[in-house]
Amino acid sequence: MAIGIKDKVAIIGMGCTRFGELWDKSSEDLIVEAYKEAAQDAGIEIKDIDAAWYASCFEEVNVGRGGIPLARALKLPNIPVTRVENFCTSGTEAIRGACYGVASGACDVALALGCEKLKDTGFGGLPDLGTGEESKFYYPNITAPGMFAQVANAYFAKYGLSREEGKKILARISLKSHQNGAMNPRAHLRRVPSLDAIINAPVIADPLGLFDCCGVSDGAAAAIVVRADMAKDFRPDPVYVKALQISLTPATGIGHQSWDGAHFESTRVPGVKAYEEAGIKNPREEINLMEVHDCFSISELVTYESLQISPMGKGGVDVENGFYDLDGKIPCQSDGGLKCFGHPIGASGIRMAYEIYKQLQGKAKPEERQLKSNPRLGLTHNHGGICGSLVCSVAIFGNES
Amino acid sequence: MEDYYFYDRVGRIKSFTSDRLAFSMDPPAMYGLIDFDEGGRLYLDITDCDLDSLKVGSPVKMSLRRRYTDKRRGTYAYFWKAVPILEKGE
Repeated sequence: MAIGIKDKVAIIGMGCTRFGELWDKSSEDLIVEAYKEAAQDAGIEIKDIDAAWYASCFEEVNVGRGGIPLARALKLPNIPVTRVENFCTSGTEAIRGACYGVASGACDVALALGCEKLKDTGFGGLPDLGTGEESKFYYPNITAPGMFAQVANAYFAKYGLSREEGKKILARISLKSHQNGAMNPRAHLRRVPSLDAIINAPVIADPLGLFDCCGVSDGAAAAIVVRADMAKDFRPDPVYVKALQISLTPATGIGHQSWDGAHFESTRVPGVKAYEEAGIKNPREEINLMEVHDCFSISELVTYESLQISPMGKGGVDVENGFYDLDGKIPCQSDGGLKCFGHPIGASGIRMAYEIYKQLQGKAKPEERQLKSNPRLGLTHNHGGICGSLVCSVAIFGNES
Repeated sequence: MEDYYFYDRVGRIKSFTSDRLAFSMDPPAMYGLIDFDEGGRLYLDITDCDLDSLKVGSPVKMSLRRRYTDKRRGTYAYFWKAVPILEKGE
């Protein structure tokens, strides 16, 4: 294996707007707000930035194509600005671009920023995202909840769970994220429904109900990356990048019977590579907190297992034992997750890194959200596309070099 | 390479859903991954059934159905859909 990114670069500043239905803010407003917080946090100015990577998934929705929206909003002075888009991993792709740029020596200070204005579509759910291979003439009209609903049904069947047993586990996952989101003033959804209300909510795509689905939001998030050896010139508590992995499947899952439909091979592979890159031997013991791609509750459950934190088929046991709760062994979605913090796609991977960064520094706000366990290593996970044909990112961050 | 036909082969439901968000002329849209007994897998619409009759592992047969209608231009598109094979008495 290649040497990898471990301890070559560090994050010295981050920003994240409130996520939600931000009718009174344009994408430019959100970009500026996320950038300002990050720049102030890092103690840098626009002239210090050598290059920028900009993530947005739906350029059609009031954000714009290419790197121009970012360059224009921030008045970046004739530097390289690259737009990245790779479904729901777009934000992590921007971090990856900035980190690789800095690690290569091509730039000293790089900006990664993601922004999305999804509420401007005027409808719920996401605009259509073609992946190329499916013809509308013969493929079912597959939606995102419909895709993950199938994973739920395949998972329930594989592990002998009734619909009621399965839905109860999923509801417990969403309840935990609502409890965390309610404590976070920047989260999109801040009410805590009862377990019964979650289980009995209207069905979107069977067996998934309304509360199994994440918020679709407006928002932006930003990170400033420098070489690791420069980091302490900016601040005493930088956060070091330990692993950055992106992986795409060859889509065999949707055309070949080798995929069981109940795990994410697309997550397992980059997870293994990320642990190796970061020097982690036993992720269940060494990872201290996680932000995983909980676009749907079943996605979070199956991700616990595919990341080898929970044993296969036993994720529900950990869920019911509170293993992933804010006061559990590995708090997951401590900021509310996609479920409640919200999911402006291009910003989401960076928003996850923001939460890990703040928790690793001991600076999560308000203070009652800060983990008392002195976390050292945090993991972020995104995936998108079609189940069986997903793009997935796994990143690991640490507060010690 | 020889042509290989799936239309008369039995498939089994690997995963399924009944989707109320997806556009459908006859909502909710039901679809899933179908595994053919002699190999092969395809995402297909599932029709002529209700949600309660769908189970992972239950058999389906192929049926050629209209999938797309454009009345203004008078064009129609057809494709195969999966129809559950019901036991007698169901």
